[in-house]
Amino acid sequence: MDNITTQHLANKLLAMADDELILAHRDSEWTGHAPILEEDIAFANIAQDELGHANIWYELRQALTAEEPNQVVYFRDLAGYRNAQIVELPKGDWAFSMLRQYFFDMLEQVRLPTLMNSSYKPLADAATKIRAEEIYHLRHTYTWLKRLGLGTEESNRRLQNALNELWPYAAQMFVPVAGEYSLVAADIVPAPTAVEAAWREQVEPFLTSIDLTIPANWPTQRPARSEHTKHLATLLADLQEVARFDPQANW
Amino acid sequence: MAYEDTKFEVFKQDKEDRPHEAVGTVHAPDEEIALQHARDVFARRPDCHNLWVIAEKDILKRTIQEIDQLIVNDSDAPEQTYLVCVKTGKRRAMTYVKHIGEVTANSHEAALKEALHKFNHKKNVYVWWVFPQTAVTQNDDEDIDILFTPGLQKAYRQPNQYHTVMPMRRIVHEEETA
Repeated sequence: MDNITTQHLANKLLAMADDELILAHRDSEWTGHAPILEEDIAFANIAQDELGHANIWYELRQALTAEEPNQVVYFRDLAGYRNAQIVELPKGDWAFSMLRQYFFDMLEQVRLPTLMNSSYKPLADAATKIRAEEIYHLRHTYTWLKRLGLGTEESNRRLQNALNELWPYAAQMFVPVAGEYSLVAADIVPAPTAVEAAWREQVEPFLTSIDLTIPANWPTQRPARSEHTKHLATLLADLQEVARFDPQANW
Repeated sequence: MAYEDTKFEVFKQDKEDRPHEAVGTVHAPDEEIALQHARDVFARRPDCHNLWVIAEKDILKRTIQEIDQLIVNDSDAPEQTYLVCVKTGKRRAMTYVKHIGEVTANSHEAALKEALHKFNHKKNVYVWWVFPQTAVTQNDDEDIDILFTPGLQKAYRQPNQYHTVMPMRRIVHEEETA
C-alpha cells in the first residue's frame, strides 16, 4: 500500500474506532440504571462488545501508524476525535439509547458484508470476526424498538421524540473521511453513498412498520467529523480523567 | 413497576451430547426477550449449545417430601409430551436440575406420577420437575454461531486473576502503619 493510501485508511479506521469507543462509553452509562437487571447485563454486554470492536479498529490503525491505542484514546485531545456527533449525545431515555444503538447496529449491518470482502486482508478478517456479534446486537435493538413503537402511547411518543432528535444526526454518520474515495476505488471500503442508501432502505420501512413517522428532512448539508457538539468535552473529561491522573500507572 | 414481568427458568445445554441443566431464572415480558436475557446472563462466555426458557408457572416442582401428597385428578385434557427433570444429591453448590427424559400424560400431576414410575431406577433424587414440551422456547440451531460462538473466542479472567489482593493488602498495610 502506498503512503497516501495508508494515511487515508488510517483516517477511516480512526473514524470507525472513535464511533465504537464513544458509543460504548454512552452505552456503559446505563450500567446500574437500565430498566431491569437482565437488561442492565444485556446492554453492558453490548457496550463491552463495542469497546472490543473499537480496540480492533485502533489496532488495525496501529499497524499502519504505529500509534498505540491507549495513547490514542486517553491522551488525544478533543480536536483529534473523529466520531460522528450522534454517538456523543447524552444517553437520554431508554428509547433514545435503543434507537441510537439500532442506527449504529444497522450501519454495521450494511457496511460489514462489504468490509468482509475488503482488498485489505486485515480489515476483511476483522470485519468477519465482528459480524456475528453485530447480528446479535441488531436482534436486541429490533426486539426493543418493536415493543417501544407498538407498545403504549407513552413508549411510542418517547420513541418518536428520540427519532425526531436523532434523525438529523444519523445523516452525518455517512460523511466520508479525507481520502475515503481513494479507498473505495481500491476496493478497501464500500462507497459511503452506497452504505447510506442501503441503511435508509432498511431503516425507513422498519420505523414505519412500528408506527413511527419519518421526519421530513434528511440533511444533505452535514458537518465534517472534526466538528463536535458540546457534549464530547464532558464525555472525554470523564473517559480520560483516570489515565491522565497517573500516565505512568501500570494496569 | 408499570408492567408485570414473567419469571422464566433457564436451561442450558453445554454441548450437543449433554443434558439440559437448569442454571437460573430471568424476568422478561415474553419468551423472545427471555431467551435473549438467558443468553446474556448465562451463556455469554461459557460453553453453550442450546438454551431453553420455560415460564415458571408452567413447571410443576416437587421435592421427594411433597410427592406423598400428589393428587392426580381425572382429566379429559388431551395427552401431550412432558419433559422430566431431576436434581440428584444433596450438595447445594454446582448441582443442577437436569433433564432426564419424557413422559406422555394429560396433566402435570399425571406426568409426575408417570415419571416416578418410568424413572424409578434413579437414585438420590431430591427434586422432580415436569413441564409440557409446548412450554419450552429454545434457540434455533442456526443461531449458535451468532449467540454462542463469538464468546468462545474471547479471553476472560476470573476475579482471582486480576492480582488485586496483594496490592490492596499492601496499600491497606501502608495506610495503617503510616
